Amino acid sequence: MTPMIDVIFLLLIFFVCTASFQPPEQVLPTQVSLPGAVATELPPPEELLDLDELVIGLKWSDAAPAWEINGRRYGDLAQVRAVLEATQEVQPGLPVILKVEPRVPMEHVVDLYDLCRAVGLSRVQFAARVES
Amino acid sequence: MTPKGQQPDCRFDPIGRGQPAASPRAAGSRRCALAAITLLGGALLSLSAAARSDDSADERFLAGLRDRGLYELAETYCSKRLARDDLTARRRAELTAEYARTLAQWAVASPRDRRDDLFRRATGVIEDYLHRQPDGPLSLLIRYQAALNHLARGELLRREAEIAGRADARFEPARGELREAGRLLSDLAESAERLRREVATGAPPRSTLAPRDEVGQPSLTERELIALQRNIEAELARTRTNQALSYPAGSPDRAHALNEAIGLLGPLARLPEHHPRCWPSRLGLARAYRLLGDAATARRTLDAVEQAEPPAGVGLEVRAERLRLALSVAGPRGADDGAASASIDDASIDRILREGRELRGRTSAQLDLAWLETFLTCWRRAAADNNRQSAAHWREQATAMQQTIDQTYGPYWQHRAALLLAEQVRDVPDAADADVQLLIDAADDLYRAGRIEDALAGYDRAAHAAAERGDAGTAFAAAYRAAAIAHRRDDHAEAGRRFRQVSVGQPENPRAEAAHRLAIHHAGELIRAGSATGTSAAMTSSLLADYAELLREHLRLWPESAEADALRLRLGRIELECGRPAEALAVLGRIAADSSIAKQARGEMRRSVAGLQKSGRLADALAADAASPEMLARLAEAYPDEGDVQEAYALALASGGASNQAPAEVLRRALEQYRAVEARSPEGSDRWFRAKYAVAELHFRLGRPDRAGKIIRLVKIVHPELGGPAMREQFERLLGRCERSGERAGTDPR
Repeated sequence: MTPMIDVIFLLLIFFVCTASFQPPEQVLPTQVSLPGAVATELPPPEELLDLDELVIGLKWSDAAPAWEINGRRYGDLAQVRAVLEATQEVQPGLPVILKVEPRVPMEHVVDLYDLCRAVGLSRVQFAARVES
Repeated sequence: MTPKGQQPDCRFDPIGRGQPAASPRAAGSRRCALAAITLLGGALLSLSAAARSDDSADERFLAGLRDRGLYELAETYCSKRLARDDLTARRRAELTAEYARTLAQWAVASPRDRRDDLFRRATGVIEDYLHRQPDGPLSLLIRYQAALNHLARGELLRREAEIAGRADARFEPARGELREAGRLLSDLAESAERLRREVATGAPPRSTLAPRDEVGQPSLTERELIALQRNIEAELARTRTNQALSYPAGSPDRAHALNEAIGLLGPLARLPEHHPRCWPSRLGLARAYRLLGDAATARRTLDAVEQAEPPAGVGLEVRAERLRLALSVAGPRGADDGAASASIDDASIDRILREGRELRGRTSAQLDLAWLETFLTCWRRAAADNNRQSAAHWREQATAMQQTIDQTYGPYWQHRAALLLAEQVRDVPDAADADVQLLIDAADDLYRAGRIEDALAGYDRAAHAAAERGDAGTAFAAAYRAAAIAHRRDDHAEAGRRFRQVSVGQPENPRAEAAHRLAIHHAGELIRAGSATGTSAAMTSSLLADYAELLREHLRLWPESAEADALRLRLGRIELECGRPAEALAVLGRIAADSSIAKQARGEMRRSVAGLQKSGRLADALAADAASPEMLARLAEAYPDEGDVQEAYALALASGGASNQAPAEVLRRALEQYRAVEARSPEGSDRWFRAKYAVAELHFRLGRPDRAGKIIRLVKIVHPELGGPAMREQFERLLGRCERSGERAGTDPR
């Protein structure tokens, strides 16, 4: 009996140590549609119909990042934050699309992404460049 | 058919021969002339029979064919027989006469457009014979036939002119024919007299008219020549009477011709009573005296006829003549003397009317017509005296008699009676008190008589009278009939005017829409005729404008008619041709999508849109009141990338133009359309702001003010300028309404 209990305890310790508590990647809020993939356009939720999605452009100009929201330029990330907070206040959970130029260093991208998440915008997507 | 033995005013029955009539107006006169030719045939046959004492089978066969209207067959038979070389001179002459008679009868029974040619051919046959055989046997009788052809034609023309109205110029062709007939008959009378003397004295014939047969004997005996002379005199008297009737009453020409007729009829009237020329000559004499205004002599002549106990038919003729005499010179217009009103012998009229319409079980069309003339005269006199009760009584009597004639006798008499009544109805003021149908019938009769203007006036009067009595249906029918007459005459201006008037006056009438289309048709014909004759550009433009206006009027009054879409296409094309693409678009856009001409309409719409784009007026045109949602829907489908079109369609939907759908459904469709406009417009553009505002407003109208408020606030965050001051003001105002509405609903608008 004692050896059996030992084996069970060892197995328990093994599964506890090997178990992962992170969600799988496919359910992460950020999804990227790869070129060539077949995209199925799902209708937006009813409550978000006619509420504009936010398209945040991140450019690299004069060795510095530049931000645009729906075509309007903003000087710094704080202004972007203010706009995002305002929209979040009007309608939480608005979809956000990040259009990032390839030259932009990753740290600025991560900053912008983190800002969106921090504000509460959970539906953040990256616009992918379609290679010709 | 006239009962056997009845004698109309020209001594033979002009009706009931069974020939097809070309027109009602011509039918009576034609039949009269037909009978004249038949009489001539009888005269020729009797002479021929007297000369030879046997009637050839050919003649009986040809007469049978003619009686049955088989003129073409009779003509072929004659021409084939005449082509043979083995005919004797006498037989050739007989067949020539038969041939000419056949053609003349055919002419009388034919429509007017064929008649002249047949008469010419009949004359040609006679002339050809006389040219080849001037001394042939029976040439005298063939010349007699030629004269009677002119007489028949002249009498026919006179009666037609009389029926068509007493305008002097209408009688001129008749006078020409009658003059020629009189000249030929006078020459014949001289020739016959000379020949008779030569035959009586046994002298050899001196003139080419002297007929001898192939064995050298005269073809006609003295007795036959005397009979021929009497026939010539009787026909000459008939010619003179016809000539007299072709001149106005009281004119010297009429008096002269009547005196000549009296001079000729005098000896004939003294013939023994068993002679076939006796009674007709006596009646003719009395008539001539009456027409001459010598009532006393006419009365004495009639007394003498009556005392001689004539046959029933003649007795009835005498009564008719007496009635006309009693009417004195007051006969109604259209009666054969055409005299002006003067005095009426009421006592005589009363006495003759009491004698009744029948004699020994027989009636007479001539007497019944005289009765009708009497009733009409009394009616006219009562109307002139403002005695409405009496006028109504006589009017009823006249109408009843006209119906009796209509039911009893042939078309000639029906027509004469109807025409007399129609003229009365036209002229007598109290006729409007009568049944409107009487006015319409009178106008019908005038039309059948070829008196178009009088008929049109009659229909107008009937329509007016019916409208005054509130009988819209009859008023429409009368006016429509008048328009139809103008239509049949190809009088495009008049027909168009009348059809438009009648249809616009009563657009609710089931036939109004069709009438208006006919008005459009005639307007089109006017343009066509104008372009064919090289009308000036200004005139063509004016006609085109009238045509377009008619099309617009039609579409305004009957927008749902079966032909509406075809007319819309036509109007759209005109608008395009006239450089008005906006108007063209508005019209074309109303053509139903499932119409058979929808494809053509789309083509024209594209032309219109192209024209508007070129001139930069597309947006204005689409915003115009005339642009229908249906048209915009079709345009939106045809031009998916045209922002102006898409936005105009969305605006039309939002305005609730589709009345056949529930408003909420319309608003949802508008929302969809605005979403499409917004999605296809660059963000931040004027159209994008307008679409955004419209989307918000539609949510508000659909009872979702919170959603509308969110939309505006989000737009305001991202685009604080809100598309400029004007749009900003609208956005702010709508936002305020949304917030107030949210507060009332107890929800947080934020």
